[in-house]
Amino acid sequence: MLEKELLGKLKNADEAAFRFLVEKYQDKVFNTCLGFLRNVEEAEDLTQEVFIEVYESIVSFRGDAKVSTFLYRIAVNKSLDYLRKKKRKKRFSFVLSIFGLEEQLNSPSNIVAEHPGILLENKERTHLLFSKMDELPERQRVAFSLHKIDGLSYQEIAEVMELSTSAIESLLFRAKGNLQKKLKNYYESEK
Amino acid sequence: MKNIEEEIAKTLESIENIQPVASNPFLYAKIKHRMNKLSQPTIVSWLTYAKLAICMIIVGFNIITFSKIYLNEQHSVMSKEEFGTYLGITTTQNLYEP
Repeated sequence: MLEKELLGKLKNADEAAFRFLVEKYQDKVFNTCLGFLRNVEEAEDLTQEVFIEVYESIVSFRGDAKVSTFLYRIAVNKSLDYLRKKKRKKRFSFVLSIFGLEEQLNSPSNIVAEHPGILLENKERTHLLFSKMDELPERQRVAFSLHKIDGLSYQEIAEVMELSTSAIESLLFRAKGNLQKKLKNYYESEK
Repeated sequence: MKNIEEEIAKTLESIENIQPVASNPFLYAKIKHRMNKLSQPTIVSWLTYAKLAICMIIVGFNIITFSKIYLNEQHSVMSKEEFGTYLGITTTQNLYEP
């Protein structure tokens, strides 16, 4: 199905076109969400939300970008929103723990889950890198994750983030530099 | 130092070997189920109504209390002349008036 044809059918709320869209992009959207959340259940839940939002907001999509770009954009924004909410919840549960409600901190949503795509021999290293990635500024983190985990090109990331290619190059350069510094501090303190 | 540089490079490279994970094959069915659920009118439970009613009662009581206090304060303020006539006495000012 051609992209224009797909878009037209989606705007007319065609169920078969929506099914086609889900089946074509579900793995990509799921892996993008997983790259940010690193929890299979949460990523699956968010993937569902992404497609529902696409279905509801496709009418306002002007078609000036690819459908995949539109999907990535929603997936990234939803993932970042989810992480912000989770952070707020964590802070709140910390306050509750002060008042003696410690079980809030041990709820299942707070248990650190693993990305199933990590190779066993790289487990420790990747976890360390993920923890340092979480300390990066948001834009650097998004660009780095889309490039390294989702394998998007500079041009594709630029379209998703609505920035120029040179801005993406700069973000990735700074992200790598920051990660190198953070890892150096970590390894030096380990010695 | 060289050892640390190697460790950093290896750690940075580790992310490139992450394998893509297959999503749930029943994702579409799950999405459809969720969409159908969302399109159904939500039934607000009686507990929500009860909570709302309690809040309204509390706010109402507060408004009544504050308005009563405010009105009482207004009544309690009397002018000097009014206070004099109320007690049946005259003010000293009137005694020396020509």
